[in-house]
Amino acid sequence: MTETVWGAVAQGIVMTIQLTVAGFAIGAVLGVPILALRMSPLASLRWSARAFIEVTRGVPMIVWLFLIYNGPTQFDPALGSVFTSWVSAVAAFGLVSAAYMAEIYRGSLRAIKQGQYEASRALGMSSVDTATRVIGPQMIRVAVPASATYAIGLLKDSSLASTIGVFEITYYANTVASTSSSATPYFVAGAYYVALTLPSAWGARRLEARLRRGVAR
Amino acid sequence: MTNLGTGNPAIRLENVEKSFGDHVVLQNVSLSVGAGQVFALIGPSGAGKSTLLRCINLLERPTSGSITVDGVTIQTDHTIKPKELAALRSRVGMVFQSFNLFPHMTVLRNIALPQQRVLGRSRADAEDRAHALLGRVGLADKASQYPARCSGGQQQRIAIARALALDPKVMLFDEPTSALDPELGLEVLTVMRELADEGMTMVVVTHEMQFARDVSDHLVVMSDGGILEEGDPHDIFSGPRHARTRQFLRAVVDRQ
Repeated sequence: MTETVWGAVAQGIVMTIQLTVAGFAIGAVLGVPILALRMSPLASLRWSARAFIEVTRGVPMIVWLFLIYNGPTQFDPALGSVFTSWVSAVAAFGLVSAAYMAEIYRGSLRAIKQGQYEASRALGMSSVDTATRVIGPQMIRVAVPASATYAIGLLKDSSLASTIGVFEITYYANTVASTSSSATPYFVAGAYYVALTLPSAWGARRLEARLRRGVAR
Repeated sequence: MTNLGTGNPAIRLENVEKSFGDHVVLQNVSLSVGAGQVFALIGPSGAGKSTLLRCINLLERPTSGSITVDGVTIQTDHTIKPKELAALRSRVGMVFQSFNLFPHMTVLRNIALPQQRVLGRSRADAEDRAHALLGRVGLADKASQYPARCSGGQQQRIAIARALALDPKVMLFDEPTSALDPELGLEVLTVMRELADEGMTMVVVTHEMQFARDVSDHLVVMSDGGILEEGDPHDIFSGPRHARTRQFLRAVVDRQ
């Protein structure tokens, strides 16, 4: 019995990873333009980015999932074939991650000393070169620890996607639990999540150390 | 663009003013630095020395006045085109109090990257030049190190090499030794002295009075956003005309 539970819940592992990676990747990329808007010299752009960030982060993930999954079909049932469980979940995770990542980027940008911009400008480097060659790489280094923490949180939040029918770890745990009326599948699911987060945390520390090498002593 | 014919100064500031709101930092400063001259800017803190220096390469945007470097003139009350700004900055090298090396690059890349991006040199050419300049500042063995592994004095010499790599017409130094302990500061001053001997046009904001007296050939004393007096360093040190200069020199030279 127990062995089949491990096997049954394991069916969701790949989906959990896919969901986390896709959501995080979208957030990491979309976070950049949102940061750019957030730091724009135009107050209107700055405020719209800020409003986006606050609203997106203010609404719980599970509410976003229901909104994106159920919302569009209310206007046109045909949209149901566009906003499938998978698409809705990735969209929700991408959206929320973008807001969080933009804030993580903003924090790391603030950690860079003014002198770095000045030196780059005084050397005559263009603003694009300053951003991509001088500031960007330093920013990434500072952003890695916070981003990794966020990604690991997202991995666990991906369990919420089970509520809209994405076949990931928690979904299978629920299914097995309801047919067997046992809590064991949840124990198994928990073990799988730990098994996934441990290497992620280890990988993040490795990456951090690698980026730090040379820079600090 | 103005052309003054022969005897064109390397740097010419005309009626440069800078204010932050109501606070006037520089008022009506005019200055002319001849090619090959070494100017030392001294004076009490808050006098506007660093601001004046930073106006020369427009890190600080003056409220009004004009700036000419090596024939490129910028009227600061007009909008400055990126092209003009690039033209000006390509002629001016700057060394900061806090070095401002790029911490994520090796020493070699710190010096080579700006050459590649600003002057379009090939990576091989840029790195050859970087190696040569590192040798010149006595740090040939540091090429593959990261800046954090170098002492402050070494970092500042690397910063000088980085600026020189772009073949500037003038070099600006903003208190280059203030963040260094005296011995390390000496390494930097030695490099600067060599640079001066080779005929580089230099403007140096400094608290190193010995350097101001012995290396510079023109001394500018600033106070309260203006030039108090200027002239031959030895003359000013031995017989300052202004009471304020006397007071300042007494505090920095004759301190026990």
